Amino acid sequence: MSPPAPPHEPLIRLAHIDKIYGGAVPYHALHSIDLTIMPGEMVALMGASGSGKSTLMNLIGCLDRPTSGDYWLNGRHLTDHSDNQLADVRNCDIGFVFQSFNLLPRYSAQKNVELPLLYADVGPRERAERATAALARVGLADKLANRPNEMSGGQKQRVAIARAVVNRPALLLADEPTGALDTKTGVEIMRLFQALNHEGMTVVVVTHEPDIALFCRRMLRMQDGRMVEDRPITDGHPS
Amino acid sequence: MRSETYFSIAFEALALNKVRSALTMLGIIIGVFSVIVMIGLGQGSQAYITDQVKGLGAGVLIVTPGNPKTQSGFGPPIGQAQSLRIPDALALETIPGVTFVSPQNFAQTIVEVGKNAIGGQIVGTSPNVQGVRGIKVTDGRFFSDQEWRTGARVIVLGARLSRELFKNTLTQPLGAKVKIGEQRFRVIGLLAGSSGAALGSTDDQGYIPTRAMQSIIDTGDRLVSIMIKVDNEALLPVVEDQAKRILRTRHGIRPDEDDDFKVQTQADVLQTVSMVTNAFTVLLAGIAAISLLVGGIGIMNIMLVSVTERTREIGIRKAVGAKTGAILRQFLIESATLSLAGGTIGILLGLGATWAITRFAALPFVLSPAALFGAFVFSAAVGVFFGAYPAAKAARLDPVEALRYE
Repeated sequence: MSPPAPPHEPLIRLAHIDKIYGGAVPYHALHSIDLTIMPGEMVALMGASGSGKSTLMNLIGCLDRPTSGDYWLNGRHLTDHSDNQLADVRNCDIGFVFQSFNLLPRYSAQKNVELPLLYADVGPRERAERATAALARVGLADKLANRPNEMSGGQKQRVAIARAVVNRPALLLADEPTGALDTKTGVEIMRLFQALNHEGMTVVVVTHEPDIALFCRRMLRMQDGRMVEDRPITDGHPS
Repeated sequence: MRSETYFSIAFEALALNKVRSALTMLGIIIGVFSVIVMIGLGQGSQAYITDQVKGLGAGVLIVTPGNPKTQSGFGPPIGQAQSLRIPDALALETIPGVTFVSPQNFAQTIVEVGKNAIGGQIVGTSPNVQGVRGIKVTDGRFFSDQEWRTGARVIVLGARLSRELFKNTLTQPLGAKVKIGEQRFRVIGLLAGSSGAALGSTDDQGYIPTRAMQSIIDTGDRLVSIMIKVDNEALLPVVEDQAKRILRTRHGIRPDEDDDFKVQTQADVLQTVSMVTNAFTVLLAGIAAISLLVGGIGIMNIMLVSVTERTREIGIRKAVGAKTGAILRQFLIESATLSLAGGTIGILLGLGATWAITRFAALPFVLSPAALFGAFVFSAAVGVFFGAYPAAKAARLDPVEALRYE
């Protein structure tokens, strides 16, 4: 578990981040993004498709690297980390939730949740304990042995959230987490994020649905690879 | 991550595609199976021949015609003008320390009784061949020294030869006459059936006195070999020297000329035998190893398919923190598990088949642990070698693109 950052220290600090995709016609996906997110925030990252929000999310999640610019996570400068160091960051400091759940279909819920612990060299007994606890936290204590194809979309997303938080990361990144769910289930999932945020976890939700963004306390809007709006949400759904 | 975790991931992945895994393993199974059988039969035959040669006893010299220097290659020996003859054998008997001398000649010919005509190997030899080859007479007797010296027309028949010759006749073999060429030989003895061995069995042979060979073939007086049994092993070098000197004198070889014969000890013969059978074994095992390589290519093919199919899984694993090395190991262990399982099954089947064949052919079953270990290690190596490229491909996948893969 990563030590909690001092309140004055930002969890995420991006400075002049550019991302250019190579190819015959280079594509400028991100233009000089500057962004600071403090620990304990709950942020909605909005924008139309192609606005660069997924690209930014991949960079924050250490799945991808910026073409230029600097990135500090929890005070550490990640820009010159090796691939394996970034894998460690993804393993310990960041939890991912995807629109399409991205669970391993032939693994039980418990095995899916254990996956990050497997790569953190946690022993089998502790893996089982922590996975069970994480699944209980998301309300799936009775679904440990179920496989993804035996669960509803909402349940699958809960398993994915349990997997994201099982290693107690400082940052939870969710890419369109409600995109494949009905409205009611989507609200439940957002309530779960709020509860996790309430427990101290920093949450960044990528979404294009304004209703979903209202569950957050800060809203960022992107357009054509630039950050065009950054404001607090005052009229949202309080947690 | 611990290795047993990798193995359990590998087993789960392989169990998911049982038929595909089994078919992929089949290539390795066939490869390892054929390597094991080839080596097993090679080693079995070698052990058999070695036993035969050792059966001659340690204190034996074998004289064969032909110049040892010009005879190494293929084709008939050069300079065989002065080949070994019976008087040579008799002269060698005078060397002090020699127990007996057994001159040998062979001819593949037709033996007839009435309407039955059977192919057999006629061996012209002396009575002491019994001791040398461990021949047992069940009915009648072997020919005597007296009969040998005079070249009497008598024959001792091997078990199968006598059975086939006298099949559907009312004649009792013992005392009957058999026809070889224009000559008639009286059957004075029948041999016990030997164990149906592939090589050196006496079952299809007929034994006659050496001198009697001249009456059935033109080269009957030329000997294929002379075996010299020595009282004491320590005397071998002395007797060898003596034998060479006597033969050189008898053949009128000048001091500056090479021998026109070769004197070998049992150890020399053993060395030759093991050289030949080793070369043979290596050749066959090499051919079998090619099928193992083909099996390895099958593994590579399937692993490449598997990596493509599981691109998304690889992306998920990377997203939750799997390092490049962890993905590499996962796929390497998967392919190694395939080839090791195939190798183990191939070894077991190969052992079974070798055991059955050696039993059937009455060869000794002497598959060496080194060969089994080698096959095991080789099949593991095939899995790792041919799994390396697909595993590297998996490990190099970009997590963002892998997660996007449909």
